[in-house]
Amino acid sequence: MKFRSIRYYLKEAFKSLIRNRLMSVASILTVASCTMIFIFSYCIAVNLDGILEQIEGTVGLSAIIEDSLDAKEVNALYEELLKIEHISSIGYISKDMALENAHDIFGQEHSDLLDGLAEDNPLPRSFTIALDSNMYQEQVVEKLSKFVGSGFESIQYESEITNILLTVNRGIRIISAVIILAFVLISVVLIMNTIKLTVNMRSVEIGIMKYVGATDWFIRWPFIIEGMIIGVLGAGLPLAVGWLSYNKVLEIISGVTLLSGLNNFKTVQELFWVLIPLSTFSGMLIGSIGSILSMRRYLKV
Amino acid sequence: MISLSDATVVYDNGVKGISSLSLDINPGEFVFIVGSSGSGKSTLIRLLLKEVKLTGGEVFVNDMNLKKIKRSNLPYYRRKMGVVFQDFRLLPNKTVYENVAFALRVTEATTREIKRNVPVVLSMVGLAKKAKAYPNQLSGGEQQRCALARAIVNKPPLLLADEPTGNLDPDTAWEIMGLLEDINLHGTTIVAATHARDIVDGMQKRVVTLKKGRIIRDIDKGGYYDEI
Repeated sequence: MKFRSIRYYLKEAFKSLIRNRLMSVASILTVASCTMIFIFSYCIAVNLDGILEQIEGTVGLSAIIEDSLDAKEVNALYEELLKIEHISSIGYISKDMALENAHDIFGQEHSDLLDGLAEDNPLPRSFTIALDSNMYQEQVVEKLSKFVGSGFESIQYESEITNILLTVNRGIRIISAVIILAFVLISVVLIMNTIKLTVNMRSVEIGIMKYVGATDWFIRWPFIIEGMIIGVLGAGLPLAVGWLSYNKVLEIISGVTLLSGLNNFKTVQELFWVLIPLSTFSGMLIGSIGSILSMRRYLKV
Repeated sequence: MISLSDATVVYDNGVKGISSLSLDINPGEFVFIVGSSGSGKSTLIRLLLKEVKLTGGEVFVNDMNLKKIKRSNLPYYRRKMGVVFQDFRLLPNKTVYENVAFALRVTEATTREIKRNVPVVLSMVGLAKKAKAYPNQLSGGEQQRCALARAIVNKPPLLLADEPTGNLDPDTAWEIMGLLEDINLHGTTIVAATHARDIVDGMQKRVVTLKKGRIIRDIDKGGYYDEI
């Protein structure tokens, strides 16, 4: 392809966009609304994932250490725990720390209940164990259970909460994937129809071009570039709106009391680092594929 | 230049366009193809344009075997011929200048070549002053002149015309035929399918008469055949 041809294709594409401005605006808005929905779904999916991770992180395991074990034996037990797969961190809670925690839980008003315990502390020592993912909880608990009676008194964990979280997480991922896929398909069909309409209006023109000896690609390129421009503009608009409004939406969400404890939201940069190239490239691809498919039959002259 | 031997075209619906037609046209000739509606005139022009498929026989145009031209090579085949139609077929969104330039542009001609050749051709057909006008701002005769300019701007050795005066009044029709004659004098072979009896009788060129897809008369110099 020669440079002067590229210049001609670009000129023709822009001329056509302006000439058919109503149709162009309709196509751009179609792409824009589909991209907006995609951006919206993506932001929700990614943030929910992060929030669930945060909640998962608070649900851990506790291994209660037998009172009879001396410091050396506790250390040996710790070494054994390090060998178990999928454990991300191990914390040690001494008797004193357990009492402090109990004070925190009971609060200042009822802390007198614990006063007598300071001298003869009955609270056990324990390990708090965090996992790579709660998916592995059952597996890790099974391994820890082998030490019950030979180091641990018992293993405490919240299996129900973990199972609910895992199910919710899986459900959200599937629903998001289905919604995004459905909207991508709807976008392709809508864009194809819009471009088909433009090509249909220009079918006579395409026929004439063929008579004077234009190659198929000479005819296609301006339409493809036109489709790409529609795709890029259609993607750019909701990207700009999304970028500008994301932080505001986060501020509102953080203000809701129920959600105020959650702070694992992705930053606008983290999200749009993926969204900008993905949406722009998808827009260009959908636009150009739409052009090629829509004009196929008119080229057979 | 053009050689048809036993050429047959049968359309998808079974209708025969031309049937076992044999014809030779030499370089530089001016040939009228005449006949009543449905005689096969337009089918012959469309066959030479390779717009319809050859069902039987053989056709050579500019030394190229029509049957062996691949779809990807069709544009290069068509660049060696100009074509004008009864309905002009100009690009409505392009000016006169741009319509003519387009035929050069598809061959990837340089901007300099386009700027040099288009005004020359527009002057030749008498449209220099209408270069910036759009087709809908032109009369029928002017539109056909523009189509002619587009057909010859690449200096093709062959010009095909399908009812070139069909939509024009008699005076304008004669002007267009005068232009075709000029183009022919410059060495371009012209094949024109027409109904226009007066023009055929007046110009005294080679006349090939078709009836039901077959040649019933072929004379070197003459007029319209009365018995068709």
